[in-house]
Amino acid sequence: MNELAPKTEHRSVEFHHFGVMVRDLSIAAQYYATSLGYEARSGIIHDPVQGALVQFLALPRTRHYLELITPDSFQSVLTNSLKRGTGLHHICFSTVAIEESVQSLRNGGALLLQAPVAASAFRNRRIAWLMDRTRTLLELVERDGARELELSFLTGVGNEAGGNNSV
Amino acid sequence: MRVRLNRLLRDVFNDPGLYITDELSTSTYAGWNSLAQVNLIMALEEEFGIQFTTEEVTALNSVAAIREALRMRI
Repeated sequence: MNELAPKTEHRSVEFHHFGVMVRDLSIAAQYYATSLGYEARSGIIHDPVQGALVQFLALPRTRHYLELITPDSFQSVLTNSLKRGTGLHHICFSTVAIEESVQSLRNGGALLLQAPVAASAFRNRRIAWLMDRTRTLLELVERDGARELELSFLTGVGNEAGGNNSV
Repeated sequence: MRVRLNRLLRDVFNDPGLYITDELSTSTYAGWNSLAQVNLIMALEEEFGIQFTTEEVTALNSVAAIREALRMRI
Protein backbone atom coordinates (compact mmCIF):
# COMPACT_ATOMS: atom_id res chain seq x y z
CA MET A 1 0.00 0.00 0.00
CA ASN A 2 1.34 3.40 -0.97
CA GLU A 3 0.86 5.52 2.13
CA LEU A 4 1.95 8.59 0.16
CA ALA A 5 -0.76 8.19 -2.46
CA PRO A 6 -2.09 11.70 -3.14
CA LYS A 7 -5.62 12.71 -2.33
CA THR A 8 -7.78 13.23 -5.41
CA GLU A 9 -7.67 17.02 -5.10
CA HIS A 10 -3.86 17.04 -5.31
CA ARG A 11 -3.62 15.20 -8.62
CA SER A 12 -3.66 18.42 -10.59
CA VAL A 13 -0.56 19.69 -8.77
CA GLU A 14 2.65 19.51 -10.80
CA PHE A 15 6.18 20.67 -10.18
CA HIS A 16 6.84 23.69 -12.40
CA HIS A 17 10.16 25.33 -11.54
CA PHE A 18 12.66 26.22 -8.87
CA GLY A 19 13.76 29.80 -8.45
CA VAL A 20 17.35 30.85 -7.89
CA MET A 21 18.29 34.32 -6.69
CA VAL A 22 21.20 35.77 -8.65
CA ARG A 23 22.97 39.10 -8.92
CA ASP A 24 23.20 39.12 -12.72
CA LEU A 25 20.78 37.23 -14.97
CA SER A 26 23.04 36.97 -18.00
CA ILE A 27 26.07 35.78 -16.03
CA ALA A 28 23.96 33.19 -14.22
CA ALA A 29 22.29 32.01 -17.43
CA GLN A 30 25.67 31.56 -19.05
CA TYR A 31 26.89 29.62 -16.01
CA TYR A 32 23.98 27.15 -16.11
CA ALA A 33 24.31 26.78 -19.89
CA THR A 34 28.00 26.07 -19.75
CA SER A 35 28.02 23.93 -16.62
CA LEU A 36 24.85 21.86 -17.02
CA GLY A 37 23.53 22.38 -20.53
CA TYR A 38 20.56 24.60 -19.68
CA GLU A 39 18.88 26.46 -22.53
CA ALA A 40 16.93 29.72 -22.33
CA ARG A 41 13.17 29.23 -22.53
CA SER A 42 12.26 32.90 -22.23
CA GLY A 43 13.72 36.31 -22.58
CA ILE A 44 14.09 38.56 -19.55
CA ILE A 45 10.64 39.21 -18.09
CA HIS A 46 9.85 42.19 -15.88
CA ASP A 47 7.35 41.45 -13.13
CA PRO A 48 6.52 44.80 -11.50
CA VAL A 49 4.20 43.20 -8.93
CA GLN A 50 7.03 41.08 -7.57
CA GLY A 51 9.66 43.76 -8.24
CA ALA A 52 11.66 41.23 -10.20
CA LEU A 53 13.46 40.56 -13.44
CA VAL A 54 13.33 36.85 -14.24
CA GLN A 55 14.43 34.45 -16.95
CA PHE A 56 13.41 30.83 -17.42
CA LEU A 57 15.90 28.14 -18.43
CA ALA A 58 15.40 24.40 -18.91
CA LEU A 59 17.36 21.30 -19.67
CA PRO A 60 16.62 19.77 -23.08
CA ARG A 61 13.67 17.37 -23.10
CA THR A 62 12.47 18.37 -19.65
CA ARG A 63 9.16 19.98 -18.70
CA HIS A 64 10.25 21.87 -15.65
CA TYR A 65 12.27 25.03 -15.39
CA LEU A 66 14.91 26.97 -13.57
CA GLU A 67 13.86 30.57 -12.91
CA LEU A 68 16.65 33.06 -12.46
CA ILE A 69 15.55 35.99 -10.30
CA THR A 70 17.02 39.37 -9.50
CA PRO A 71 15.48 42.56 -8.04
CA ASP A 72 14.29 45.09 -10.63
CA SER A 73 15.51 48.00 -8.50
CA PHE A 74 17.09 48.83 -5.18
CA GLN A 75 13.59 49.51 -3.81
CA SER A 76 12.39 45.99 -4.68
CA VAL A 77 11.32 43.79 -1.78
CA LEU A 78 13.68 41.22 -3.28
CA THR A 79 16.68 43.42 -2.52
CA ASN A 80 16.65 42.28 1.10
CA SER A 81 16.47 38.68 -0.06
CA LEU A 82 19.48 39.21 -2.30
CA LYS A 83 21.36 40.81 0.60
CA ARG A 84 20.90 37.54 2.51
CA GLY A 85 22.61 35.78 -0.35
CA THR A 86 22.21 34.15 -3.73
CA GLY A 87 21.03 30.59 -4.32
CA LEU A 88 17.84 28.55 -4.04
CA HIS A 89 14.95 30.93 -3.39
CA HIS A 90 11.70 28.99 -3.90
CA ILE A 91 9.97 25.97 -5.42
CA CYS A 92 6.95 26.44 -7.67
CA PHE A 93 4.04 24.09 -8.34
CA SER A 94 1.28 24.58 -10.88
CA THR A 95 -2.29 23.76 -9.97
CA VAL A 96 -5.70 24.00 -11.61
CA ALA A 97 -7.30 24.96 -8.29
CA ILE A 98 -5.16 27.55 -6.58
CA GLU A 99 -7.53 28.35 -3.70
CA GLU A 100 -7.86 24.67 -2.80
CA SER A 101 -4.10 24.18 -2.99
CA VAL A 102 -3.53 27.23 -0.79
CA GLN A 103 -6.02 25.94 1.78
CA SER A 104 -4.53 22.46 1.70
CA LEU A 105 -1.08 23.90 2.41
CA ARG A 106 -2.54 26.13 5.13
CA ASN A 107 -4.14 23.08 6.74
CA GLY A 108 -0.70 21.49 6.73
CA GLY A 109 0.78 24.42 8.63
CA ALA A 110 2.12 26.59 5.81
CA LEU A 111 1.78 30.35 6.16
CA LEU A 112 0.15 32.34 3.36
CA LEU A 113 2.43 35.23 2.47
CA GLN A 114 0.65 36.41 -0.66
CA ALA A 115 -2.92 35.51 -1.54
CA PRO A 116 -3.53 34.67 -5.22
CA VAL A 117 -2.68 37.67 -7.41
CA ALA A 118 -2.14 38.14 -11.17
CA ALA A 119 1.51 37.79 -12.22
CA SER A 120 2.88 39.26 -15.41
CA ALA A 121 5.61 36.59 -15.52
CA PHE A 122 2.77 34.10 -16.10
CA ARG A 123 0.58 36.06 -18.50
CA ASN A 124 -1.43 37.32 -15.56
CA ARG A 125 -2.20 33.84 -14.31
CA ARG A 126 -2.64 34.05 -10.56
CA ILE A 127 0.18 33.11 -8.23
CA ALA A 128 0.34 32.71 -4.46
CA TRP A 129 3.26 32.54 -2.05
CA LEU A 130 3.52 30.44 1.10
CA MET A 131 6.19 29.46 3.61
CA ASP A 132 5.86 25.78 4.47
CA ARG A 133 6.70 24.15 7.77
CA THR A 134 10.22 23.28 6.60
CA ARG A 135 10.68 27.04 5.99
CA THR A 136 10.79 26.46 2.24
CA LEU A 137 9.29 29.28 0.19
CA LEU A 138 6.59 27.90 -2.10
CA GLU A 139 5.01 29.52 -5.14
CA LEU A 140 1.76 28.29 -6.64
CA VAL A 141 0.79 29.23 -10.19
CA GLU A 142 -2.67 28.68 -11.58
CA ARG A 143 -2.89 26.39 -14.60
CA ASP A 144 -5.73 26.58 -17.09
CA GLY A 145 -7.40 23.17 -16.85
CA ALA A 146 -5.39 20.48 -18.58
CA ARG A 147 -3.31 23.04 -20.45
CA GLU A 148 0.30 23.03 -19.36
CA LEU A 149 2.26 26.12 -18.50
CA GLU A 150 4.67 25.64 -21.34
CA LEU A 151 7.23 28.42 -21.50
CA SER A 152 6.58 28.84 -25.23
CA PHE A 153 3.23 30.17 -24.01
CA LEU A 154 5.02 32.70 -21.87
CA THR A 155 7.97 33.67 -24.01
CA GLY A 156 7.97 37.26 -25.08
CA VAL A 157 5.42 38.45 -22.52
CA GLY A 158 6.83 41.66 -21.08
CA ASN A 159 10.07 40.62 -22.71
CA GLU A 160 12.58 43.41 -22.23
CA ALA A 161 15.23 41.43 -24.08
CA GLY A 162 13.32 41.76 -27.32
CA GLY A 163 12.58 38.06 -27.59
CA ASN A 164 16.20 37.01 -27.68
CA ASN A 165 16.17 33.64 -25.94
CA SER A 166 19.77 32.70 -26.51
CA VAL A 167 21.90 32.36 -23.40
CA MET B 1 -0.28 31.42 28.04
CA ARG B 2 2.09 34.23 29.00
CA VAL B 3 4.90 31.81 29.87
CA ARG B 4 4.46 29.85 26.63
CA LEU B 5 4.35 33.02 24.58
CA ASN B 6 7.42 34.55 26.21
CA ARG B 7 9.39 31.34 25.71
CA LEU B 8 8.30 31.22 22.08
CA LEU B 9 9.28 34.85 21.47
CA ARG B 10 12.75 34.32 22.94
CA ASP B 11 13.19 31.19 20.83
CA VAL B 12 12.05 32.81 17.58
CA PHE B 13 14.18 35.90 18.09
CA ASN B 14 17.05 33.75 19.37
CA ASP B 15 17.41 36.12 22.29
CA PRO B 16 17.27 34.21 25.63
CA GLY B 17 17.56 37.40 27.68
CA LEU B 18 14.89 39.34 25.83
CA TYR B 19 12.81 41.50 28.19
CA ILE B 20 9.25 41.11 27.00
CA THR B 21 6.55 43.69 27.54
CA ASP B 22 3.34 44.46 25.67
CA GLU B 23 5.17 47.37 24.04
CA LEU B 24 7.70 45.11 22.30
CA SER B 25 6.99 45.48 18.58
CA THR B 26 8.40 45.60 15.07
CA SER B 27 9.07 49.30 15.72
CA THR B 28 10.93 48.88 19.02
CA TYR B 29 12.95 45.71 18.43
CA ALA B 30 15.36 45.45 15.49
CA GLY B 31 15.36 41.65 15.60
CA TRP B 32 11.66 41.62 14.70
CA ASN B 33 12.19 41.91 10.95
CA SER B 34 10.08 40.48 8.13
CA LEU B 35 11.80 37.12 8.21
CA ALA B 36 11.39 36.88 12.00
CA GLN B 37 7.72 37.81 11.56
CA VAL B 38 7.15 34.82 9.26
CA ASN B 39 8.90 32.50 11.71
CA LEU B 40 6.95 34.02 14.63
CA ILE B 41 3.53 33.56 13.04
CA MET B 42 4.32 29.98 12.04
CA ALA B 43 5.63 29.23 15.53
CA LEU B 44 2.49 30.73 17.11
CA GLU B 45 0.23 28.63 14.87
CA GLU B 46 2.18 25.47 15.70
CA GLU B 47 2.44 26.17 19.45
CA PHE B 48 -1.20 27.11 19.99
CA GLY B 49 -2.79 24.98 17.24
CA ILE B 50 -4.50 27.91 15.56
CA GLN B 51 -4.59 29.59 12.15
CA PHE B 52 -4.45 33.33 11.68
CA THR B 53 -6.08 35.03 8.72
CA THR B 54 -3.94 37.06 6.33
CA GLU B 55 -5.47 40.26 7.77
CA GLU B 56 -4.61 39.18 11.32
CA VAL B 57 -1.03 38.35 10.36
CA THR B 58 -0.50 41.89 9.10
CA ALA B 59 -1.76 43.30 12.41
CA LEU B 60 0.31 41.04 14.66
CA ASN B 61 3.19 43.48 14.94
CA SER B 62 3.43 43.83 18.71
CA VAL B 63 3.28 41.63 21.77
CA ALA B 64 0.09 43.39 22.82
CA ALA B 65 -1.57 42.54 19.52
CA ILE B 66 -0.42 38.92 19.74
CA ARG B 67 -1.70 38.55 23.30
CA GLU B 68 -5.07 39.97 22.28
CA ALA B 69 -5.31 37.68 19.26
CA LEU B 70 -4.45 34.66 21.40
CA ARG B 71 -6.96 35.67 24.07
CA MET B 72 -9.69 35.69 21.43
CA ARG B 73 -8.70 32.24 20.12
CA ILE B 74 -7.85 30.27 23.24
